Amino acid sequence: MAVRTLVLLAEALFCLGVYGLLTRRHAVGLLLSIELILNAAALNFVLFSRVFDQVAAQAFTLFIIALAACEAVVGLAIIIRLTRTAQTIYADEATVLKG
Amino acid sequence: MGLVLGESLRAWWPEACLGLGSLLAVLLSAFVPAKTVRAVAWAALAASALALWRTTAPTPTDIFYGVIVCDALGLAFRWLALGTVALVLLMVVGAREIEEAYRGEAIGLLLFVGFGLLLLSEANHLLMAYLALELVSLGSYLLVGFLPQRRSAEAALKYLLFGALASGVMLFGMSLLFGLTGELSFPALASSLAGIGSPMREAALLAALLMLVGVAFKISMVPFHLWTPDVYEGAPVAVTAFLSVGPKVAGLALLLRLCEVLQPLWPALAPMVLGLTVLTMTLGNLAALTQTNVKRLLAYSTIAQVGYLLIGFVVQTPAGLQALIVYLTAYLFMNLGLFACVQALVNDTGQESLTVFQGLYRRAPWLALSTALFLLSLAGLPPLFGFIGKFMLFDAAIQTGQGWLAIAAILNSAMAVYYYVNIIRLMYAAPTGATTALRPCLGLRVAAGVCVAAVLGLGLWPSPLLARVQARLSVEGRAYSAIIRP
Repeated sequence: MAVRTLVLLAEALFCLGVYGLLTRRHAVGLLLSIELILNAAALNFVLFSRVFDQVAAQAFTLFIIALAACEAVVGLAIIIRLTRTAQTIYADEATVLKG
Repeated sequence: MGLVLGESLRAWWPEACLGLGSLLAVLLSAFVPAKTVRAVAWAALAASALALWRTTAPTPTDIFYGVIVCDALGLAFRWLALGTVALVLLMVVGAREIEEAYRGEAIGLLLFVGFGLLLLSEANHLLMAYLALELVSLGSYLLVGFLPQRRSAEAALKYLLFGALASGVMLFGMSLLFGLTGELSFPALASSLAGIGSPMREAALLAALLMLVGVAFKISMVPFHLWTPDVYEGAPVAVTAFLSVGPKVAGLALLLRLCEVLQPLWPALAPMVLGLTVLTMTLGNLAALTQTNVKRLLAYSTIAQVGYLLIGFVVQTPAGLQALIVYLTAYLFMNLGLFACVQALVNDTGQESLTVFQGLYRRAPWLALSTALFLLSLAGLPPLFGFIGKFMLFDAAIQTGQGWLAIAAILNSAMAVYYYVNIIRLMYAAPTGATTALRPCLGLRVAAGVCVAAVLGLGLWPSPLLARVQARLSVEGRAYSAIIRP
């Protein structure tokens, strides 16, 4: 019972993240949506590691948390670069490249 | 435990050298001029190549508790990855558009990404595959944003958003697959999936599809290719060159290993992958016909080439695997060589439209000649190396009774000849723009020279390479049974 609820929670988080990534305009909002997707996967790993009694999957979760931080750092660096060169933080106004 | 780690490290010198070298290079780049960083990078690459040379005949072994596997396939892909990094390093050093103050950092990041490529080609565990993929991705996002112009920052943001979505979806697929099987390492996953029953089978299929999205993004397979032209246009030329070869090499390695894991589900996946292969080459070639920016054109050409490469994967035979590796080698040399020529042109003119090729024959006859060679090899004309790879790929398709696949690929190749030859026409027949002589810097001349030698040499005398690939990778029975042992 609890497993099913938690799987549904993880799936809801994943869908929220994808929805956010497709609809948000603000670059920081987009980064937050990415975090949601990663957290959904992390939640799955923790949950299933309890189910299968596999500690390795919990280590996987720790790696996901660390990598999410790295991705946020790289993302913020790129966003700062964009705001400096393009004077905008909205992803849909980044339209120099087209074709 | 100490014993396992010691044994593992002994088999892992190439990665250790490159990893330490990349850390040192990034650290040093904050304090010393780019020249010193360059020396460190070459030393690390040379040490890594030497170590790889010494591990030359691997009996398949699991190291680091089965997280990494050293086998013949991994060895081939590791050589390809190292070759890519070395050639791109020459181009990064010779790129005038990258500011001198940041060149050291770019070199360090390039080595990091190279380290990721090595890991990706020998990953044998979901965690390792994910970590290596992210290492490659994060470094590439930063490298794309290295130019001071707005388009570079936009390209980096686009790459980051698409890439993070793809790797997030892949990660979610991995977590579902783990939830269905309770296993993380590839051999255990494969044997667990082999016995999976009906309701679970469909769920596993969904998880497999989600995982394949991440790889398809990396190798810019249709319909996950949309980022390719924009990112290639915004990035520095040297980085574009890297993106068009490096991630494709490692992504195909991961695809081969994943496919072995997902073998029980392959019958359901095969028709879709087959259709996407044909779509990839067709869409790439059609879009390339109308491009006016040379980097965009090469982006679509890359997509088309990935389509050809995927033939070697979808036929699922040892001959297909050998053809894939041979064509990947050819693709590495001809594409990086072509990008080295483009880099020389961009250094000189500061422009990227196709008009920079006009009258190149007068300004730099050797540069024009080598550009023409690379273009003809990409188009697949004999006696160049590209022809041999393509011939093997199409032959592999025909051998498995999929003649229509070979016919589709041949029609596509014919279409591609148009835009490749168009550049040659511009170089030799169009009226000249500028008339001053163009002399590329030493690094670019070395890069182009090595690639010309490989494209011509291996095109005329392919038998040593083919014999080597055949001896290492031919296995009886199942397609890739050398890759993973239960």
